[in-house]
Amino acid sequence: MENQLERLYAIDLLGILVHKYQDGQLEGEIIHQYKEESTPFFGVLDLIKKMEFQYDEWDYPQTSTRDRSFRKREKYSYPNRKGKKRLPDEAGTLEKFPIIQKRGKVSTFFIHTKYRQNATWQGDIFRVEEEACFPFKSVLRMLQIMDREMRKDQGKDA
Amino acid sequence: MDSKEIRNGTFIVQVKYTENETWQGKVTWAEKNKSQYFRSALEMLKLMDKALTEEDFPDEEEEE
Repeated sequence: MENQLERLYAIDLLGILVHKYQDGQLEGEIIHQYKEESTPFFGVLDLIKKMEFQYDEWDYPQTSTRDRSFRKREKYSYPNRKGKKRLPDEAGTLEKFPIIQKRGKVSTFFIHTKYRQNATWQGDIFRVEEEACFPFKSVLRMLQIMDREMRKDQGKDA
Repeated sequence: MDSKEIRNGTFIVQVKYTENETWQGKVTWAEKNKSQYFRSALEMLKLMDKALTEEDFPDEEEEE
């Protein structure tokens, strides 16, 4: 029953445990295999920011574009990664915690972001309840997939 | 980012293209009369969020 789920693996796999999805409010927790504690999120923007923060911490997937700002002449400063290892360099040695058994009250997604190109993310999103995997080429698409999948449960029109 | 201060702002979003399954265009921050191009919906959100959360943002600091 959980074959597909058990085969799901990526060093940067993020679990999104959705505990609430109502009236546009998305709340839950973000989990990954290198930490026992979860990171709660409140709202779509918060989810995206926290996921991106994690990818930036790992420097994986490496982003291919610099962040823009309304300040046109802002000098770009490369993030200081002194003492920080990139995830691919240390994933083999880090202690790992099982995450694929964790569930959100409303829905559970596992996201494997493979690339960060075009100022967005590309990868696959796996929905546990459907045992279905959907590719995405942008964060926008990823969110649309999550919304569509959760609305199915709520019996709403897509 | 964890500030409880209520910030607000007005943004005008012009979506000019929809490539790579996302949006490309220009977002204008009305209060500061500043605009910036975005290459994805994510970038647009980050621009708006940074504008709303950044502590001090100079006005009219440079010419277009």
